[in-house]
Amino acid sequence: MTMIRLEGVSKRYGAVVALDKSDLAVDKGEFVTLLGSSGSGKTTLLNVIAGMIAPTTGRVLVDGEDITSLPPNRRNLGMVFQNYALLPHMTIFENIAFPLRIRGVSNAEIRKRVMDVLDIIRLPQIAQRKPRELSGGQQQRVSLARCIVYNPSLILMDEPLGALDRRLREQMQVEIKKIQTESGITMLYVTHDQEEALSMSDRIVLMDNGKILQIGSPSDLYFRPKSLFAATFLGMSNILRGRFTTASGGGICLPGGEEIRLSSETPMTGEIGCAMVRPENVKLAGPDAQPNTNEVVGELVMSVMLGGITNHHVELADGTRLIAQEQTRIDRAPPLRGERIRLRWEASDTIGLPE
Amino acid sequence: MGYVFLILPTLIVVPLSFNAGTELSFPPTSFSLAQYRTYFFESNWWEATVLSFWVGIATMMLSLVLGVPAAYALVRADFPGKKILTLFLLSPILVPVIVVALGVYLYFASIGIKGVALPIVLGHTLIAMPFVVITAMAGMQNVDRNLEVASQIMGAGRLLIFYKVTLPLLRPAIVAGALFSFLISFDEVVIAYFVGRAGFSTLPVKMFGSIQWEISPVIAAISTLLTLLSLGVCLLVAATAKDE
Amino acid sequence: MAIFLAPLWSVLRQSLFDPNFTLNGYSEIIESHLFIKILYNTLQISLTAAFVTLIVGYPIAYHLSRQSPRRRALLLILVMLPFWTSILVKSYAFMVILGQDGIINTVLYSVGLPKIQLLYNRTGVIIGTVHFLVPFVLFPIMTSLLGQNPDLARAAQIMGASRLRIFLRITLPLSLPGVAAGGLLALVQTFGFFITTALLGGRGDLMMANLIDLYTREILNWNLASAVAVTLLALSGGIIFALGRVRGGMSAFGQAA
Repeated sequence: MTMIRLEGVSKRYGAVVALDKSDLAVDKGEFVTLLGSSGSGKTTLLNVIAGMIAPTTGRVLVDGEDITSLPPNRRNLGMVFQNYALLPHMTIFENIAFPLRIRGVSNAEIRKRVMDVLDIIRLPQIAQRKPRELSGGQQQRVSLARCIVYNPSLILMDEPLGALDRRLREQMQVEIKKIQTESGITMLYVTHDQEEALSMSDRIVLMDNGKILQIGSPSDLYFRPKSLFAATFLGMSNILRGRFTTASGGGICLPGGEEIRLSSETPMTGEIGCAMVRPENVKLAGPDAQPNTNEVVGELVMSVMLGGITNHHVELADGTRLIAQEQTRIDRAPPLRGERIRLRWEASDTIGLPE
Repeated sequence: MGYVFLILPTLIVVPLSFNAGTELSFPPTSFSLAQYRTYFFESNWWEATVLSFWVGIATMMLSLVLGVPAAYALVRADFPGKKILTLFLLSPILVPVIVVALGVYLYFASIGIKGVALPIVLGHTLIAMPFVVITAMAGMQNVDRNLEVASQIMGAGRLLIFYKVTLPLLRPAIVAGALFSFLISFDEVVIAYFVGRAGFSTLPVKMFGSIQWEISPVIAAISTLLTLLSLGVCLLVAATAKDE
Repeated sequence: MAIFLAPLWSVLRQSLFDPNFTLNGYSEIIESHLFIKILYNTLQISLTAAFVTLIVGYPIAYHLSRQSPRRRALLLILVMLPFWTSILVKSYAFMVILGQDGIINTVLYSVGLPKIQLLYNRTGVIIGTVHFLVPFVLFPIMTSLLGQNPDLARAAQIMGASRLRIFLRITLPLSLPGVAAGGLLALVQTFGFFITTALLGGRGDLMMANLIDLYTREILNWNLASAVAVTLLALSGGIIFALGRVRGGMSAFGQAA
């Protein structure tokens, strides 16, 4: 069931297009992330849904009802801000009770519901504290509780973990995802952090320059990017430029003459394009390994040990740099700088992309 | 050294006020509460004080009612000419009070209003309101815009947001503005002197007359009380500011 | 809006209509020796007072800017209290201090020195005015001193600059916008001075505000009074315009509150 639907929504400030015509549908109970760097239009999109910005064109529908012209306070949405936006002069209890009081809920009911959500965020003992007495992570949980308590049709989260340090951020990602799954809330989450988007979302909406580039599951976006931008924005990627061929069901011919086979045929045969392969799919082949398709030879520039994994940076004859990722092994001597390295990977891990 | 120059005149009136004689002499030769007795019981000083008090309260009310919403609009809303309007609202601080006084005097003479309290209150509001606007604007900087946005998305209407969110957060600034505008009015001489008439003198006007012509020693007692009032206002403002 | 404009409009109209349009008010004051003398007085007193105030205020601002925030807040009370004290109280206090039998003269007399005339003359007016103005110049100067990056002075020190050189070559030049804002603020305040001159000044040593009072209440010539007031307003307007051009000038007068 569709909870929220955007139809041809755009926002223009004079000649500046903040958001190009966009369509998006989010199902009930789904966790959807708007991912993009600043200026990508993700915050504009969020504010259009919240009602803080009137769209230039298009409609916003919640539960089938057109809310495009409703003011923010009549849309029955929830929003969590990066700086928490808890009311500093009210206790935590009063903060969470605030939206219920607006809705004229009885005192007994308020008491019960506030205590229930405090249990959900696992902070039952803080009801009488003031926001400034809480840590950042606690304040953000309260902020989420304040949304859950009145059961809005959709909770918008605007970079909610941006102000927290890395360790806390990772804990909160798990916490928020758990609360969302258990309570079945629909969430629209805005972030510029790709790891956050990958780890929490049911679907990711990748945005750049005011446009939606791709919508899909985290693994879709990661392993089946549809553009060079998507491939490079999420995770590390190896890009090889060449000319597409039809040989053996889709391939690309590199300047050095090597033939790289792709996972599928591309409609761009004859054109200049790229092959993308993730570093974790690239293997170092031993000197005596049999020749293979999708193999290139280069010189080791450096090996970077990142704990459990090691990245080998290899430079090809034409200057292209590739990264091969391996599990770190201490029982084997790492290759030396300047050594000739053969890299290989499966055709099924290779994606053809337009330039 | 500089601090002594600043604070000495304010403090010197205190020992003077406990002097018994009618002569201006320092150091005082004897201790007595005679000047305070004169002030409270023996002349119409007290009447002037009561008048000043009510003028001060009226000025405070008017300045708050006009100044706080103006400050709110200037910080929150975005409209052309906002800078000019801000400058304009604050300009009475820089326009010589004497010009304001003459203006109020001529204006009320031209529209033929005979009352005295109204022109004084309006004149005082004119010079006190910029202080309310400034303190309220400074206070608004501390009111996070997201708090209002968050409240709105939670379903609160504009009025409710103003009363339940913005106003409570502005409280220290409003208290400061209220106290300062009262004090400005209570201490103001020039406008009250220009617009006032015999038999309708605020405390400062009566003091001004008294200092100008005879220098009655009761002035020392009144000065001490006024200084205490200023000190009280300053401390109260500091306390509310720290409270939040 | 209306309550702001109406009084100023009244003054402007009164200066031009009496009851028909006339520039007599202006031509009369320009030809008046009294007005010229008082205009000269006003400028002289204002400039002197503003200058002395900067000399007195700068060291205090400098001292305040070098204190810990806690100590500064405490010391600021010593500045704020006189700022919020009635000008009558302050003038009265100066009469006690500077008078013929006042504190200073009593001390001079007791050590065998001759008494000096400090009250009811220019000296009295300047002292009273400077005292009133110090808080006004103090805040803009302090703000510009506090706004300086302390690493600049530290860097200069490590490069071997003496404290005097650091002050003259770094601290002082960087605080000049604050000094300018403070000075202009002081000027514009003094132009309209009324109480201090009336109480501490000599009988003939009037300023423009006193002239407006004289014309309005004693000579009952509103036309002249308004012409003088408009001139005063124009002077102030010029200063306010200059203040607007100084960096941070407009915010300067807000900090007093």
